Amino acid sequence: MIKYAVKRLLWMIPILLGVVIIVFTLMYVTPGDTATIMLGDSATPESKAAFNEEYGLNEPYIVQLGNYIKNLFFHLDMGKSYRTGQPVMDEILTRLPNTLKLASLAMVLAVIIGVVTGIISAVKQYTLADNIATGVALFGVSMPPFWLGLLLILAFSVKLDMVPSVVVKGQWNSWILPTITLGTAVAGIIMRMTRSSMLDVIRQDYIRTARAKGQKEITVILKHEFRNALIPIITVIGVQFGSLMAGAVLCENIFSINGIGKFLVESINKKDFNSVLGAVVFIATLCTVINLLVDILYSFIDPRIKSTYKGKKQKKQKEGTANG
Amino acid sequence: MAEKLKKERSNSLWAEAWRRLRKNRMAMTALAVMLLLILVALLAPWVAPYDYDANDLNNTFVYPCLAHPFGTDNLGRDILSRVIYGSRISLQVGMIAVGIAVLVGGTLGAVSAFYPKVDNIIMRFMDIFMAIPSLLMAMAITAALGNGTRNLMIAVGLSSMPQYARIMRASVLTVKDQEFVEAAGSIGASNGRIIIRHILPNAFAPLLVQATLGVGNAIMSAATLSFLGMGITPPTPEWGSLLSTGRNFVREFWPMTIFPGLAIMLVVYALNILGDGLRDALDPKLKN
Repeated sequence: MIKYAVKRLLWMIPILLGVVIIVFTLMYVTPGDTATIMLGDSATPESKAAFNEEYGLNEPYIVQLGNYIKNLFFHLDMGKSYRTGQPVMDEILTRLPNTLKLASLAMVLAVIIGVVTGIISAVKQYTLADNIATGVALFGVSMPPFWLGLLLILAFSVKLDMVPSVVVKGQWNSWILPTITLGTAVAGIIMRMTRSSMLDVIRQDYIRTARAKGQKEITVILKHEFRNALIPIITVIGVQFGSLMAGAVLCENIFSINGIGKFLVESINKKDFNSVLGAVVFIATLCTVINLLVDILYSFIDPRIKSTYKGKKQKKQKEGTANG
Repeated sequence: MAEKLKKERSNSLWAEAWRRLRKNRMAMTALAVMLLLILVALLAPWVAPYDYDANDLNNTFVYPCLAHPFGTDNLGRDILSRVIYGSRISLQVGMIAVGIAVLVGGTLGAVSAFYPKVDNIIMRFMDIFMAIPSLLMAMAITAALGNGTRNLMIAVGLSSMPQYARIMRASVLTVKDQEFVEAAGSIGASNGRIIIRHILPNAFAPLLVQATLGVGNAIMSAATLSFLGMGITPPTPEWGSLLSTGRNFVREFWPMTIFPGLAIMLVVYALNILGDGLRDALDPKLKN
């Protein structure tokens, strides 16, 4: 098991290296001279030369890329923002708590709503409740999140004046609308996955056995059915973390939350490509780590998976003794 | 005799699937809605009541009425006409983006499945691609290429391409080892014939389902990028860019926000139902 985790951890390095190379190249081929864009058309050649010198933009592509990778992997340094002159890593880290807060609030909401409605839907398959729940879930998946955000602002801040339309520091209820906006689509996806995964399990023989020996219905649903349906649900939660981060970018812009996503979009619009590069690489790393954690989490939920690793080991040992 | 053979052949996977799809009332409604929307988009100059760019500064911010069913915007332009013309751009962007994704991803996936030598290289490359959330990838690509409809299509298409590669690879791999492929080989069919007549048609079904769902996602991603000021910028009436303008007036005037969003949702909802229906129709085993 530990061997597997270490292997996965090591595998992250080439993936992240690839991510850096792809995004760095995309930013490098961006049209326009960075110094001119940042300093304006009226900048003197001397100031442009100084700018290029400061940010190491005079070097050829491969040297710039090499320096970037070296600084990132060994010093966790993403260079400086062209716009503010501050280290990109600092800019990101100061904004990280807001993004994480938004993403985790939305994820908690999505998991609670998605799992509960998914279970109800599966247990009461083809009833009115099931039809409504599946219909609403598809609705949630099809709703453009930015539109949902605008509708919520329209209804609850403009018309009803119940909550603020932008996130205000220290005012907890200003986080309600962004959480709903971000959580809705993921809730729909989790609900659909929970339902179909539960339906697979419900028809198994051991469920009938559990009922036959007189287990309480709630125990059958939660312990026998839900626990066995968990793996695909956890997978989908892990995979959805990526789209949750992408959704957070949008949400932060609608509700003006000072997070990584807002920083990213501002950087793109102001052509501050070093910051864009840093933000994309940071988010991709976050997603990769989360997916790794989810994979490792499997074995804690499902002893069958753990035993396959053990099985391999024992088998190898047996083979070893047989050979020896 | 030849006629009879032909008849039997048309009773293929696709004919069967179509028969099953026709029974699914939701999916057929969704299909009708999509065909209607495509028709409206094609006939926009004749269907739209006004020109999408006709300013009328005496009639700005008109609420929905008979003359303007969706109202008018900040420059007095008819919102219904703008949404109709917007459907041209949004549907086009969605379909062409998915076309790019299917073409590039499908080819890479198929190559991966057929040639084990390059399989590892291609799929590891896809792993890297997939580590970046697709919307962020699309943002990075639009940042590199610049704004514009064509660049938006490329960005959205490329960013969703790895999914298609994975699906194509998986389905070709399953089909490749099935008995009918072996049977075709044993009666002397050439490799080319096996690939084109036997493997690809049978491997194509999951790709079609994903593409149907994918057009909806592509429209949504394109609208998202335009909404954030990347991709298609005003005054072009793409749905996302309509919303991005409407957002500035969300406090004072709701029609500019409501109607373009409703259009996006209608299309994505219809495509999701149609995609689900297609999946059930093409693979009855999957349906509970």
